[in-house]
Amino acid sequence: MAKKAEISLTFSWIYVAVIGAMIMIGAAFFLMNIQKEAKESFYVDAKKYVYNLMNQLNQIPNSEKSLNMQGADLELACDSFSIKQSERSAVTFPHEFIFSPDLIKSTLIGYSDFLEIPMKSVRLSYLTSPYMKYLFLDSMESNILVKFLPELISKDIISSYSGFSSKEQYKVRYVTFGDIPSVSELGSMASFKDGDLTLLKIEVIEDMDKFPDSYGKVKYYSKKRGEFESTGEVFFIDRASLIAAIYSESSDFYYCNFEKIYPRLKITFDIEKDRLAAISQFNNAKQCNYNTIIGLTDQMLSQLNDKPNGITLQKIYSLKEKIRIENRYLERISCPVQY
Amino acid sequence: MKKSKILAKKAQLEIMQTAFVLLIVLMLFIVGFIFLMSKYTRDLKSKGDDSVVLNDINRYQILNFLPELKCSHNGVFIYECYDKEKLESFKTQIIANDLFYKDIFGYSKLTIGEYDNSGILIEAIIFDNPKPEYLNKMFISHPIIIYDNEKKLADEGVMSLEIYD
Repeated sequence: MAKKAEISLTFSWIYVAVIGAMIMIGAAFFLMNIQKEAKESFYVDAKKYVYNLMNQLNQIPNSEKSLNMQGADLELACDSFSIKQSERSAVTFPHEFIFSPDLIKSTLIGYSDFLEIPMKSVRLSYLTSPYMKYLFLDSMESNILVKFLPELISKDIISSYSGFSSKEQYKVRYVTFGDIPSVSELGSMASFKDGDLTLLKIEVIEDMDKFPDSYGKVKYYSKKRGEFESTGEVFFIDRASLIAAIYSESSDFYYCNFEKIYPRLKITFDIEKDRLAAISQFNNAKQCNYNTIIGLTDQMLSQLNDKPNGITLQKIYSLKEKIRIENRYLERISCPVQY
Repeated sequence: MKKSKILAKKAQLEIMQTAFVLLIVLMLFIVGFIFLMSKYTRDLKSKGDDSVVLNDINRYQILNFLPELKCSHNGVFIYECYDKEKLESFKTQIIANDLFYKDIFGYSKLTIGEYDNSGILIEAIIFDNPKPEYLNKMFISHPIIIYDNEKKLADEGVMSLEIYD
């Protein structure tokens, strides 16, 4: 009988221990989940701040904004962003034009500018991190270009490729107007992580005297197995699009944004065309010839129906210059102008 | 013999009682956990929804900076000035690009008013996308300049935006 009671008592203690352990595990699981949810809640707030920053950039062009994301990293695609550490889905922005690297660590720096073709048509936003370094190889063009870049980004003009060693940067981008160096010329940077070390070669094709408001090509290179490997090329048509190319992770990122920009530009040019047609009928504009500028606007609209690529961008650049000249002519003869 | 049997049974009952209490505590703990987690998830979901919806002021400011409507001189926008001919064309474009503008303005109604020669405000609805069952409605109205290219005159006008939530 005493043995039976002993067994029963031992069993009860085991039972109590099991239940106790289950409660302990439950409590630990609960606390872990609370911590996880608290983090998720913070990431949702971080997303909200990023989205607000994007809107503020949109409202105040040529303004710079900085946002400390308290350790959260931002992953970007051309039409969405998400917090790297978060499990929640990405926030999409189908009608915003954001040029950035694919990952922004810790702090966000934003800037915006108008794409001018030739009137201010759409706002482009640029995002990056102060921990991404932009290094411009010393040249006349580099010195001009750097003056147009936002103040807050981490940028330097270097006299030689070996003159920089990374301390806290997670991405480094070299920008040159000259020849492509070999990776071994980069000094201590030669051992930087593949893919995070990129190089851009800018080539001004037309109107060097107007640089950076000229037409040109930007070639993307990425360090891979000790060599710079070409990853694509894009074309720029003004200062804003050149800055967009410098900020963009890749040529795909750049053209993906331009695929969204073209329909938006189409609306703007449709409105401009209607406005010019209406103005041409006014008594005060009877002596003015609007056929040329309306024709150019029409040609611009037909280019915007195509896919963004080097051919359409070159045509857009050429039309933009023609519209600018025609607008100046209308102004000189005291006719209502396009912009 | 009988006494020890009674004592063993009592001890057994006491242990069972403890075990039941622990079991109930565990069950309460599980129920509480499920309740709290579902509340957290619900709160987080609504928080997530908020983050992708523009607030009223943002929507209004975006409208204020639409390049397709603004007056410009040599490429420089004139603050609070709207081009009369652009506004006319915009009415057509907004219908043709309905989805695009619905995405930008959301549930709202945009009205532009212009004073005629006798000082009466003539209003025209530019965009109207009402929310059938809205909780809140915000009304923003402020004076603007409407530039008339024909008369080369800057007329006084009013821009009104109703925002539904």
